[in-house]
Amino acid sequence: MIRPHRYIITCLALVLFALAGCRHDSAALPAQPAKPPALRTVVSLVPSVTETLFALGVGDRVVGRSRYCLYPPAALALPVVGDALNVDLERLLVLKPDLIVFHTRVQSADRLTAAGIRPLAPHIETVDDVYAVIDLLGRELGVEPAAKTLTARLTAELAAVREAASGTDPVATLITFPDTIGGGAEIRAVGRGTFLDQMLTLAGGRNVVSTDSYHAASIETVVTWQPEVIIISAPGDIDPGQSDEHYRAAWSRWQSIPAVKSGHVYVLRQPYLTMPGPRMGEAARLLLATLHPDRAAKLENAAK
Amino acid sequence: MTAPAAPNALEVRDLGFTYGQGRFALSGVNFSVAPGEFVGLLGPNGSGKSTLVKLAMRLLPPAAGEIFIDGRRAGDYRLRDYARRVAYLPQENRPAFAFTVLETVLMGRSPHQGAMGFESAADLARARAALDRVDAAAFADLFLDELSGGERQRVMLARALAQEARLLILDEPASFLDLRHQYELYRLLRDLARAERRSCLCVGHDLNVAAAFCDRLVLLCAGRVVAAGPPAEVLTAAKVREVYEIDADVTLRPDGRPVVLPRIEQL
Amino acid sequence: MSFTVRRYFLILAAAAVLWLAVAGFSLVVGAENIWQLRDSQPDAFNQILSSRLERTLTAALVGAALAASGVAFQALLRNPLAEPYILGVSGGASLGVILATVLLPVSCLTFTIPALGLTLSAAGLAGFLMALVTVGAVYLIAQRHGRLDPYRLILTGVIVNAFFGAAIMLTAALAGDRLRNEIIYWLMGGLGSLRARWGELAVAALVILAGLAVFVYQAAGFNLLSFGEDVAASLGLHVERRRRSAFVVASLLAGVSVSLAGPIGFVGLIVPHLLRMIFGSDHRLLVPLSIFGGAIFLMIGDRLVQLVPYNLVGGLPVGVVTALCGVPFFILLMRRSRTPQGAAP
Repeated sequence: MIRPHRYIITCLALVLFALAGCRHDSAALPAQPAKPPALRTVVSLVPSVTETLFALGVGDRVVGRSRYCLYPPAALALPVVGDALNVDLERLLVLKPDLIVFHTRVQSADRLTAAGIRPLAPHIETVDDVYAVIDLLGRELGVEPAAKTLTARLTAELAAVREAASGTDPVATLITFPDTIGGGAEIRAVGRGTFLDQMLTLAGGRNVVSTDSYHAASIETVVTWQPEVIIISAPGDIDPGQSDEHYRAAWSRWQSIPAVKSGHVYVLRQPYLTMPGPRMGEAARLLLATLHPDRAAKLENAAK
Repeated sequence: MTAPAAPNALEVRDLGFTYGQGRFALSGVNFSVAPGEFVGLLGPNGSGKSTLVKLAMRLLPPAAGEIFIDGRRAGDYRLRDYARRVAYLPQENRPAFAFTVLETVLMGRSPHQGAMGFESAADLARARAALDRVDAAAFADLFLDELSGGERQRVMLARALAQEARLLILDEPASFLDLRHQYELYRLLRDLARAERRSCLCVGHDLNVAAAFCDRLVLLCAGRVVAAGPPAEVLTAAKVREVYEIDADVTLRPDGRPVVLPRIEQL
Repeated sequence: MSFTVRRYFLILAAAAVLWLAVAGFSLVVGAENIWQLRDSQPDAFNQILSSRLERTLTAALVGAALAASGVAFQALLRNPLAEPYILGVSGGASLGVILATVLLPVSCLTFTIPALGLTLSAAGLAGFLMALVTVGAVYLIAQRHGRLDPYRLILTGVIVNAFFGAAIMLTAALAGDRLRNEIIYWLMGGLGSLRARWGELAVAALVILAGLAVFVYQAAGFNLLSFGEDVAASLGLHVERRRRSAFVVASLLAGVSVSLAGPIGFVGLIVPHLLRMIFGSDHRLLVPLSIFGGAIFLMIGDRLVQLVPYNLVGGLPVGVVTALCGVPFFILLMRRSRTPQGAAP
């Protein structure tokens, strides 16, 4: 007859056994790419990586994308092989790319590696990450010159924005997101060290959030921050039917916030704003145009 | 342990039980059921009848005294062996799922079957015979839910018969039955005792139906046996007064069995 | 309609054949046309087949385990609405799996015995232990004076589920963005994996098959328990012992399935009830039939989910489908079922 205490003892023994057996081989993905031969085809499940691949001129070697990879338009023709959480394993095994770029942490994907598909899950959050990914993809796909050119172009674009914004008073700015589910008193705020924070600083803004990363803040805290400008980043695909006015209305009762009082609440729908990728120059210029329209106009004229 | 020379089907000696708090649910209870005897166990609410049944079914351990089954201490039997000797019929027994009558009766065979509970042709024959005995063969393929209360109790009795236990312990089997079905059930039990020498201990509330069919009655009050013996000796006006605290006229039927008629004008 | 050994084996043989057919069908049918690949891309053919085989076996094991533990819980608690998901057992196991995943370093989550090809999973163990704790807790909370009221039991399950849901959400909130998404997705209950999990599957298979064997062996006792513990004891069943061991095994089955596939709900409710409607309540038949039926149900469910094109709704987890089917079913059953009279624990 089965007795519970015996079960428990067995289970404890198994737990100890399992813990004792911990090995410290990192199951993470190999960080250093193998040297040659260069990889031919890629599936990208990360929108910014898909853009980067096209910007590097290897769009024709991309054989699959995620449901959220919507740019450039040429990418739309590619088959959908997954999204942020999921991969269509069978499709992938048929497409048989040399490389797949994931969004999420992948503990182990030996079904892919066994099929000769190298998984890659780069962390892309900052401007430096963007350059690193460009560099990495350039090497992996054997297009180093294109990578160098792209990096140089982006560096120049960002420098131009920084130049254009120099000498202005940094505008105290809050970047947030629309409350898509509705009604909560929590504000999701963009914190320091993030891509948007970097773009904001370049464009002559000062992030009112002093903590790192993204986090939720109560509306009461936001009031104490006293932002002069509030930017609501609402990429077009999130909630296409919703009007800007609707997003702004959520803030209208907080007249004690300078940004609200002076009407400086902006809804920015451009998807590239939140995308650390080859369109980050555009993102920086968009923020410049929002915070310092005069400087943005000057920059545009200079470019012409 | 000295067993009686001619072992009783059930023998209760100095039985005591307490649910704690020092209050005895039963104390010093003595009585027996001889082979082939139909004994009715009567008593008011809270007199300890159900506790006694639970003790006899080994669902509770006695605090004092002993229970003997066929001359052997009840606790010394293996559970399966006990089930082959003692069958139990509760007040009402509806399963959580829809079983057919035949399936239900076949479960009575389980103390005789292997662990997996597969029935042999002999098991099936016994179950059908038991159904025949209680005149329920026609229901075999019906679901228990489709039967009336009286029919269902007959099926449960058939399960106890299929169990082939010599002793049946019934806990208020007629509570939910109408007058006619009550009498029919008791008559069936009496016939079983007479014809097949099965022993029955039947707990009940209805004094008259017990008096009409039982060989002997045991009257329990506040955990003690107040009277035991043939119905006419147990159900006297004095005893009824003592146990139920109600005045009653006791008359005798032509066959000498008593009928208790409470005087309601006193209530 | 009597229960005879021949009928028993005939029905089970038919179930086994159906099981095999569905399993074979699961290997062949999918979003990719496997026959075409056989000639054009033999590598991909083999890899897809291997992945489908693993997925099919996982579905079969998880489905069987869930359905069998559903039958067992229903018999033990004398409640046709009992099921690991509803009782909160799956929720408890989920919390165990998630806590193990979040708290333990990646390298400690699994331990492989190369010689045997087996992989012990810390998450699986945590799932089982939490399932056991949950069953104990639900049982203790729901009983009153030694009796289990069926509706009190369901209510306790609701409360326990709410508690574990909150604990899981708290864990997810503290776990960071990426892990949070994974947790939420995992909670929907799905079967596929980019990782070949044969080692884990082998361990789970051993545990599950052993548990199922115990239930097949105990099935006659479940019949007796349906009539209440007093009657079951009077028919020679060691009620306490049987109930304890069956609770442990049912928790084991639920815990292991959760660790394999996340909390997939309502399989343990739908499958046994459909089978009861067709074949009756005799557990000697119902237990093994539910094992086959649960396996078939989940295999078919997972295949259907797999057939949905990815650019529509990619990789829908099968748990979403079973829950969508299960909830109306539960309501129907609850409205139709009578309270079992004198439902003893």
